[in-house]
Amino acid sequence: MTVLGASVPRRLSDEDTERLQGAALLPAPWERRIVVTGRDASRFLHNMLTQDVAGMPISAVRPFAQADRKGHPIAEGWIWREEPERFVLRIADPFVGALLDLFDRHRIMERVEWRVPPAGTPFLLVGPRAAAVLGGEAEAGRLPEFGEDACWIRVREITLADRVVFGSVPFATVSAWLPGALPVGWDAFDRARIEAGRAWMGLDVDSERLVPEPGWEDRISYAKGCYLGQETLARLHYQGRLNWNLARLRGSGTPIPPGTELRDSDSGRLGWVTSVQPDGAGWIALGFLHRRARDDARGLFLPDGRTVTELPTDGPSMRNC
Amino acid sequence: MNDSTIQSGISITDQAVAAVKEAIRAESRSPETTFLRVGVRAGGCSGYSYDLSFTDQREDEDLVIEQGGVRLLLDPRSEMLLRGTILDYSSGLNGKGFVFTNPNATGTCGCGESFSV
Repeated sequence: MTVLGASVPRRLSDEDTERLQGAALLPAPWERRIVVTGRDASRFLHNMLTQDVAGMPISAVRPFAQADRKGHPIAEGWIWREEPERFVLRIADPFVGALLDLFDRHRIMERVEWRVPPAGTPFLLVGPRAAAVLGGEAEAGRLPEFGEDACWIRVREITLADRVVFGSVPFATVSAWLPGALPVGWDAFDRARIEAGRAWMGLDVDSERLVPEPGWEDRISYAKGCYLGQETLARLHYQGRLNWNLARLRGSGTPIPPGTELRDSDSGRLGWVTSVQPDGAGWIALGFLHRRARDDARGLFLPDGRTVTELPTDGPSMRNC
Repeated sequence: MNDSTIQSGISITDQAVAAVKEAIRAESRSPETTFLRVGVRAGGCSGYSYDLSFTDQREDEDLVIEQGGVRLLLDPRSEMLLRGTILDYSSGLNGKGFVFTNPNATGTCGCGESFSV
């Protein structure tokens, strides 16, 4: 199937779901990295991204978003401060162009450059044992044996131990290189991603949303001063409530397609579904709910009348891994 | 505001000239070798923010503007966004310090530190 414009197998074994309890390998051809360097790299990224880049220790990895002036996301990902003025940004391929276009329009007097290394054969290493397989307590590292700019970066897709790996390593041989890690297909990974409540730009989030709505508060610094979109994001933060919030959902019966509307008992619109996976006798999903869905508690329904349950935010999630 | 001819799109008022000279003196810099670099940086709520700094280094592509005994440096990309700008200085208890009046700006953030084009 196609994920973020790239082809990925839906299923690689009968044990895909079980493999995610250990360390699992998912081919991730949509993954890209952007290497940003130059005398003013730190200051430039600090002034553009929502994260506190200047405050990042060397070798640290943090999640980030790039917002427009009105607080809508242009891109999101993870940033590794490899050296004081050298950064590696992990972002999905469909958003590279828009991000670099925005960078280019805003690079005025700064001495900063960026490049996109060849894609290679990126993959995700996920699951609670992922850190034991690669990297341990470190947040990122180079992999010179797998090509120039080959590296791995700590991310958080279904657990706190996850990694994205960049390099030219044929996926068929990765298991030999990372003993204990086994291949999985998209469906099992996606189900775990939905359970963990991890929204992806391009699947769950588009540029109509606002950066905090998908639960991306950890990408935003409210103490670092001005950056693109800061006024809107600060106002939302101190106002204390968002109109739309990411929700984990569960329903019974036939899985519904992404985009399906969610309604209250009077057929008023309360939200929509973004990602869906079968789960047992029903399905689980990510979606966006209006705050009225929680304020009014008049139930949540599909257009065909089936009920939908919003899962608690303290349920199974990456926070508990 | 002085009536000096606008050179290459940015001018500096008498008050701003005086403030720059005072700052050079306060930092014990040499008036003969010090430039005031005026530029635009990425960031700020609206996308761009003004940048002022002292430097002794002139880059090959810099535009040099001399006015009132103060020498300004502008890089080419900043100059495009600052063309027609007046750099003033507002002092006193309620003064805002250096103030840019930029005809290219289509909007500013709430605090006025950042602008969009």
